[in-house]
Order: sequence, then C-alpha cells, then structure tokens
Amino acid sequence: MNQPNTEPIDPPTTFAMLMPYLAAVGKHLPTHRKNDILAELGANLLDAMEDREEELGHPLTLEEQAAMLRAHGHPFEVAMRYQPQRALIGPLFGIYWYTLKRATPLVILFAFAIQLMLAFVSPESGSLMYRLGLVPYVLFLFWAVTTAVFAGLDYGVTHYVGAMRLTAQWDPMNLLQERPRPVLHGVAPKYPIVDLIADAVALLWVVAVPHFPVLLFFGPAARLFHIEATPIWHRMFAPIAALLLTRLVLKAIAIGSRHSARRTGLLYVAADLCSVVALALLVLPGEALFTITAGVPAETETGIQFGIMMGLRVALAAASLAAAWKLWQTMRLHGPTDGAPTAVML
Amino acid sequence: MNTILPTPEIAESLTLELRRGSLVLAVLAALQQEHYGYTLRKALAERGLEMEESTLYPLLRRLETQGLLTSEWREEDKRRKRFYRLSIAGAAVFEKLLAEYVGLTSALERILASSAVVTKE
Repeated sequence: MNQPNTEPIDPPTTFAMLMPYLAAVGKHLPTHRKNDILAELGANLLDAMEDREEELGHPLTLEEQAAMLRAHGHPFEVAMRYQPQRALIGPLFGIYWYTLKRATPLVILFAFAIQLMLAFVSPESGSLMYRLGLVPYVLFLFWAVTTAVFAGLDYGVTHYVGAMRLTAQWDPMNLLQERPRPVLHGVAPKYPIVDLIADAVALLWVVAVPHFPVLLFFGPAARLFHIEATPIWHRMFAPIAALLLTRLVLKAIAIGSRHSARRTGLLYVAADLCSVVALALLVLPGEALFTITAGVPAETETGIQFGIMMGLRVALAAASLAAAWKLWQTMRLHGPTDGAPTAVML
Repeated sequence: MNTILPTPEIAESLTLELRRGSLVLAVLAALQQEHYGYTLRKALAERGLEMEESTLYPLLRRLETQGLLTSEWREEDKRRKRFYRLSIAGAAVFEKLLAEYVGLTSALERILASSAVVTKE
C-alpha cells in the first residue's frame, strides 16, 4: 500500500474566507492527517477561486467566495467525507461520532456522581465499590443505545428521506464573524477526554483506598505487607472525594466550553486547585496514611511512611506550582472575556 | 418491511447508485495521465462528468489508500499541489473494471435494442 505523503499547510491567500473555512474543516479532521488534507484542499480551492475570478473578470467579492464555499459544502460534511466508510451508520456517521465524543465525558461524570450519591444515600442498595463498578456498564449501555438510535435514524434518512444534506442551511459568511481564537497552550490538556478518564480513575482509586489500603502501594511489594488505612483516610474521605468529583465536573464543563479562552483556562485552574486542596488535606495534618501490621520491622515501616509522605509533599508542591503557572498563563491571554465562543481545546 | 418511496426519490437514489460505480471508473481512466484534484475535476467536467469537489477529493484519498493511485507533492505555478497518477495495481484494477463495464454496456445495448423491437411490434 502506498504511504500517503504529508505536506504542511501553507497557502497564504487573498481570499478572506478560505482560511477560516479550512480552519473550520480542520476542526473535524483526524490530527495526524489534518495538515496534509487541508494543504491539498486549500490548493484546490485556491485554483477554483482564481479560475472563477478569471471567468468573472474581477476579484471575488465576499458573497461570491461564500457562494463557492457553500457549494463546496459545510465544513463538518466535508471533513466527514475524509473519514473511512462504515457499514452500520453511513451518512449520519459524522454526527453520531460527534455526539459520542461530546456526550461520553458527561455520561462518565453523571454516572460517577449518581453512583456516589446512591452509595451514600442508600447504602443498603450495594457497597460503594459495587456502585462504582456499574459505571463502565452505564457507559457501555449509553454507547449501545446511541449506536442503535443512530443506526435507526440512518436507515430512516437513507430509505425515507433520500440523500439530503443535513447542513444545507449553512451560511459561510458566519465564518467571518468568528473571532480569532487564542490557544490554551499548556493550560488545557492535549487529549481532554483521556485526561478526564484518567481523573475518573484517580477518583475511583481514592474511593477504593479505605476499603483496599493495599492500593496505596503499587507493584509486587504490596502483597508482602498487611496494611490498614489510618483514620485520616476515613476522616478526609468525604471532602477529598467531593473535591475530586468537582475537579471532574470542572474539566467536563471546560471540554464543552463555548466561553472565552480565559474563562475556559480558569476552569482548568480551578480544577487544579481542587487537586491541590485534596492533596493538602491528606498531607498537611502530617499523620501516617496507613499502618503495617505484620511482616516489616518498625524502622522499615518508618522509612516507608516517610518516603510516601515525602512523595505526597513533593506532589503537593508540584501541583501548586502547576496551578500557579496555569493561572499566570491564563491571565496573560488577551482573548475576549465576554463569553464569546473563543475557547480552543488542544 | 416493505417501504414505498415516492418515485422521484427512488429515481434519485438509483441514479446515485448507478453514478457511484461509474465515477471510480472515470477517475481511474482520467488518472492514466497525472492530475491534481482541481485539474482532474475540470478534465472530467469538460468531458461531461460533473463531480462535486467534496466527493472527488476524498475519493482520491481513498483510492490512494487502497493502493490504486500514487501521489506526489510538487510545485506548479508557485503553489504546492498534490499530483495523482494510476499505480501499477490501479492499472490492473482499471483493466478489469473496464472489461466489466464494456461487457455490461454491450449487454445493456442488446437488451435495449430487443425491448425497442418488442415495443414497436
């Protein structure tokens, strides 16, 4: 099979609408092919626009450029045509995929929140671990139902509605009204969904530690000791779980944020502050986090306790510095802070 | 479940289906000579086959991924463009498709000719 060549996007252009159009298409393209596809699309569209200018005998007006881009297609539709063809869901695959991407973090979040709430409100309905174990099941159910619904819709569109263009009402002139988007370099995570899932796992870990203190250790050493969580875990459990849940909520809101870059950045800073406070609650009292009841001499246990506490203190310092740095980066953003849709996730 | 579509929509859907296969054949035929996306579209249009850009350009990518085309970035008129050409595998596939198409067309012509005779009688 031929390896496709890649080419960075280049075209400097006098056509005011072309770059915003390409940027809009690029938002829905896979990262590893984006520049290559946009460079090719840009070169082809530029040629088409120049030919149109020659034909008309004057530079293209904005309305004429808009007409050409409208004929070319809505950016979302155009980008979706570069996706591989699928059997189960055809014309609606793009919207289906977009829905899954947007909704999955929220579903994870709500499933966690509801199961946590149920575990506290009605403990007789099952242990906390059992309830949290239901989250993947809820997620799987959501994917299955969404897929079935879209497969049905797709069947309906193909068999009853015909080849309709779902985005026929799109107006390219709107591209010019969008403001330049400051980028949240180093503030937003590069893969927000992965980051959110990692946070959910971290929350799961914290919730699990009082029940399975051995989780404080990773690796083969864990099975050598008989470990019990100290009272601080039980005392701080509720505030720490609440803080980590808040962090999850803040990040999920930031992913779907249509607010300014600065506001979105502040959501990430607030999420980081939740981590800092959670760590501080655990570390600052200076109490041991666990006791080893068998198998280790007292000096060794003291050494392990000291090592873990030192590690957590370093983590607290690093998290505080990261939050401060992100706050500084966010406040340096010059984007509008009036709620205009200018946030960009990396 | 049997569904009855309005006649114009049936026609439109069948036309699309008929066109889809022919477009690949037309693109492979045209790419015996090197082209980049826009000139290929113009070349096809000049010969009476209008094709939407948003259909043609992704199709070129797909055919390249399938190994039927090769591509190369090159500068022309002070602009970098991606030129496509039929690969060796593509040429073999094209020969097969063309043979199939010729067979189908001649069969169809015979069917249409005999139907015309029946209609006249």
